[in-house]
Amino acid sequence: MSSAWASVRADDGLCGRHDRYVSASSDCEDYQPTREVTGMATAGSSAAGKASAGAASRCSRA
Amino acid sequence: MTEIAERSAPSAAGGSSFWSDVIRKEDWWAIWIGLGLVVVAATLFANGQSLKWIAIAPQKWSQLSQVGAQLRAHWLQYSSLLVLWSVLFGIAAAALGIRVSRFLVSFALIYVVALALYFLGLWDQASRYNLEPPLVALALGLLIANTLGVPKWADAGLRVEFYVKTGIVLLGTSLPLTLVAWAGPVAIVQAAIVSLVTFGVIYLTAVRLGLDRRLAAVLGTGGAVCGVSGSIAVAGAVGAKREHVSVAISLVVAWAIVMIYALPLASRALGLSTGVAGAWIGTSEFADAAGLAAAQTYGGYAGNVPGIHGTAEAAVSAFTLMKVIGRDIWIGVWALVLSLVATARWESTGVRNRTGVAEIWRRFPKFVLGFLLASALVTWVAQGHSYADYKQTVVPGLVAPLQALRTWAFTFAFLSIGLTTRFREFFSVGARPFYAFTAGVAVNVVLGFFLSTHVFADFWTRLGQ
Repeated sequence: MSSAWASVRADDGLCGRHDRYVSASSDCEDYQPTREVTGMATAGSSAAGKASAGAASRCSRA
Repeated sequence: MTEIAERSAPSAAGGSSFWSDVIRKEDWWAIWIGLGLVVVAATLFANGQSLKWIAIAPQKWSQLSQVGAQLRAHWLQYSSLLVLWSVLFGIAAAALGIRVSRFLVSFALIYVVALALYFLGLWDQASRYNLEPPLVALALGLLIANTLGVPKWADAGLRVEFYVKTGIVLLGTSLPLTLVAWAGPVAIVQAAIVSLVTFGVIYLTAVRLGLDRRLAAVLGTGGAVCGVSGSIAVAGAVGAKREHVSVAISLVVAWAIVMIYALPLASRALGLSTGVAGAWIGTSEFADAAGLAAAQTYGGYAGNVPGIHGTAEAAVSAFTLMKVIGRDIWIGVWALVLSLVATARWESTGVRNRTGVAEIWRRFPKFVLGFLLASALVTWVAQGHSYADYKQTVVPGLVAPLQALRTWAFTFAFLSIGLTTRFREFFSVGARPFYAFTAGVAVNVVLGFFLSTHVFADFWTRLGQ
């Protein structure tokens, strides 16, 4: 009785590291973009990025 | 639940744009489809025509042979309606990323079963045997899903929320905007009282039992505001764990299904008028789809069960005002407030919430806009008609066909509820969340009953008269 496409979900994603729901306006302290996301950042670099559920990163998973 | 937990549309940092939402969110598709049908119906009506040819609905019958006769006489219309729904929902399915081929096959089966249920509800003995279509649809779906099982490909067509939102947009045509404006404040006050008290009971009980505050908040909004949607919205706002949402969803769905049967039966035993029962269901049901099943069931008793006063529409109208206007539209406010509380007062989770006032609009259930616009459009068309003319001309030519389409959409939803519910998922909830949520259910039901049958009884009794 709910839906993955409902407006009330806004653009929430899942933080793969903490297994927590994350709103689109929030970010994870441990977020690290990978080469696939930025095309430039190395795997070891860290950035205060948004935990987008669609992005390939060490923090979130699709 | 798996779909909700794992599926989320890829979005740019900070969220999607408005224009991508109107294509990617089902609320907007409910508006496009529902409001689109209303606009077409209004245009036809303005030109002296009507949508009623394709908005076909079964008629009352007493002998099975009459069902056959109706089907033979109207097979082209029933087939055309299937094509219409398939095209409309199929386009939406494609936009939402659902496999269209699977959706169309699954939806065709749903349509055929819904047709059978629609006919069943119009059997002149249906009320006598309590064979109300929503109850039968739910029972049939639960039986199939928990015994034979539902094949994976059929899941594509089981879109409870999408069908119910489309139905609610169409429902707006049955409620004049003046009525919404008149009744809305009462619904908001009554719903606010029940929601705040219910949330408080669930949250405090959960915390007292040693549960995580975020779980307590997710359970609380699930029980007090708008069921599964409320739980999911607040989960994102406060950074709840995935298992918190799973637990909340299981409890909400379990109790929602119980209430689909319990509330109409209790209301019938107490001889409540349809408006009063609808209001009670609106405060004490946990999901729009479940509540509409209960309200439509009770509405079906009007005129068929001695001692139940009021109209069938009054039950659904009262429910919608209470649940949609009184509770659903406030989910963004709850999410914002709880997010601020979580950030300021609860232990850090590693996720930094940066929630602002924009959260209220981001999480606003947009389909409500379609409901209000549909109401406004029909109100505008009806002005200039006398009440007698409205009843004789506007209702049969404009409103009744849209009501028929609404009933179809709701029937699709009721069938989908049962077919997507698995009893085994209820058993992994755990005792403490169950006790906390159930404490809230008990308070919710009693308080909702008291407010509907005593404090605001006169108001809800007069609704629709």
